[in-house]
Amino acid sequence: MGRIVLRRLATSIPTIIVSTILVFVLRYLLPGGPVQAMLGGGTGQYTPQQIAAIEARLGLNAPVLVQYWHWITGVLHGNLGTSYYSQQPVTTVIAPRVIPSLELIVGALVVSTIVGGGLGILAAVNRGRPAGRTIQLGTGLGLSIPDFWLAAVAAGVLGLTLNIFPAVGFTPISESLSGNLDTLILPVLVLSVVTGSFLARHVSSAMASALDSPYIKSAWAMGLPPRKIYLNCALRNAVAPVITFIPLAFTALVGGTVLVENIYAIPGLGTEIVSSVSNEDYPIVQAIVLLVGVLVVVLNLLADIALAFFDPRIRNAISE
Amino acid sequence: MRGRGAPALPLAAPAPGEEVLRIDRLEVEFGRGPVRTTALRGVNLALDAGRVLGLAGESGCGKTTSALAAMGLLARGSVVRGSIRYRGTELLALPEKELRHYRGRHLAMIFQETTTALNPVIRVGDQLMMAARTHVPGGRAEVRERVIGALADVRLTDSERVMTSYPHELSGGMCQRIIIAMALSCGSRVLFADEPTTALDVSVQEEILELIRGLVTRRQLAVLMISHDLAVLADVCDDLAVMYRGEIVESGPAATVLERPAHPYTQVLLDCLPTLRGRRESLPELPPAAEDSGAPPGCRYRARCAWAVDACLAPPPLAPVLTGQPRMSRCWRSVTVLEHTAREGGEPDNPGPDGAPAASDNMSRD
Repeated sequence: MGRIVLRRLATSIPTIIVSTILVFVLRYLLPGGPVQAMLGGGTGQYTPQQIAAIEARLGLNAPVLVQYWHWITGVLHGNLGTSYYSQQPVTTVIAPRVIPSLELIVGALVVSTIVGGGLGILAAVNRGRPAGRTIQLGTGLGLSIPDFWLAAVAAGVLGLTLNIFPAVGFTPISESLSGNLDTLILPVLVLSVVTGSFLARHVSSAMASALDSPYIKSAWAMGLPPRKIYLNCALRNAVAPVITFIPLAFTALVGGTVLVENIYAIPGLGTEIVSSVSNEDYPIVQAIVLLVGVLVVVLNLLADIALAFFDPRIRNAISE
Repeated sequence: MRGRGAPALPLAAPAPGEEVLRIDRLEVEFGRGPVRTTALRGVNLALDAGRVLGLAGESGCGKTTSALAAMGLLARGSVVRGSIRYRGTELLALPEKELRHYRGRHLAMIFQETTTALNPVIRVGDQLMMAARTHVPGGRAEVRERVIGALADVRLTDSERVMTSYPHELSGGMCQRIIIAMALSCGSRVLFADEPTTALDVSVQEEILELIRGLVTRRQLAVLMISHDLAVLADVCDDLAVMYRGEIVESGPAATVLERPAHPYTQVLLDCLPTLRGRRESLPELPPAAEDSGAPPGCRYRARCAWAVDACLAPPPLAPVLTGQPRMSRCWRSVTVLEHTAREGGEPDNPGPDGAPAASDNMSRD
């Protein structure tokens, strides 16, 4: 197992390096330029000398490789640069916004894994019966509802009309835990509908194919109780697709939070990245993209390790 | 050794030769609504302790369905009629919850799949223990002893290594032994072996058949050996039944049936064997099966039969070929077929110009 972890770790490093290069290049792909962004409006009223001076101060006149080196060594020391817009260190701007977004993503992952996973198991076990068909219908509906529509309708109906949850707004966890959970419920539910439906479909097909396999036929023939057959036998074989799904779900949820945070006015990374993009505040955009990228790589790494842990065949294939 | 929530049952080991399982007039229908398929049309089989009954026939003839019906493992929605009695208990009358206690503990079934018949992500030992602990009372250590004993019974003496292995680390032959050991450790008295050697190399096939044969004698197992391969059945069976389209067409002591078939279908199956009668250069082809539209009257094999005569338009009963003998054949002309195969011929000499059956045919009995 230790060798597998090391091996997977080693293969993730190049991925991370490539992703930092992509993030760095991003700055050159976005329209306008850093100086223009800093000065706001146009560069018309400044002389070329003044612009050159600013570029020199920011290190923008150095060769690209040197600039990358400066940036990446800074990143490794925890220095993500300074926001062009607020002139504050990027870490100071971003840090308080990480928590609400993580709360949303982790909350949605947990809810959709438990509810979606459970429904998936039930759908597979009750294949061809009314219960199974109903679940498949429900998850199909969940997959086809656009999340922006659902977010708006949920805020309107559950928040404003029925007044069960706060429609918009956010209470930080540092202020009040119950207030924090209260403001999180709606956005987490909205995020979980799509992810959970997707996961339910995923689990049910994995579980169904496990239930059709010869070893399950043998388990029935040996008189194992259904509970053991479903949970101890078939579910173990359905775990692998769920594990591979989690990094995918994370990526999808990152996109989902941008939307949900903006609709529910939650001060997370999603609202931050939208305002930073419109402000052309590259250091912030870069930092958020880098953070998400590294998280995705790390999650994939963890998923690979978990897969090897659950499936001896994968373990063998990697260590040989 | 057995216990825990099972209905009252004769728990003692069956006496040698005791009839442990009896299937009577078993009928099975699949599908729902107007689209129904009849899989079995009144099958009778009896399994005795210490004996192997072979079940032969082409695919789709109902061999596996018979065993699955006895195990209560047919797909939901299948209609099962008739009687399946295990040592006095009517299994068809039992609700699924109770029938479950019979699977593994009394009746077990093994399949063609070998390595995939074991769960790929669970250690073999854990799988063996999971099954045994379902049926055998007692502490973990006690049950483990029993499992190790069962492994030794199937000649897997390196139980430590076997139990810590995953299925993909073992050979197909070993996996099939492990499944058999699982059935033994649970206490199974009846073993339905559905093509247990088809997926194995010929040499391993031989080992598994020998092993089953040994267990039948030592443990007084009752075995139903299902195979399309008459050579395999000839190797291990005491008795043989041949099925065709949901019916038994011939049954009797294996040696006699294979030596002198009394049903044209058995005859053709034998002719298809490349080695047993190694005199053919090319294998004969069975004529294609006729479409089963509606309920065709008469013998189901008629359309493919070289011996068919007008009398075959009436359905033949499964009847003793000669009075006082255990051989049964579902053919109006079984005596003629028998006489013919006794003279070592494959084809009928002369079915009669007008198709009239000869006087010696057993239709005269009716």
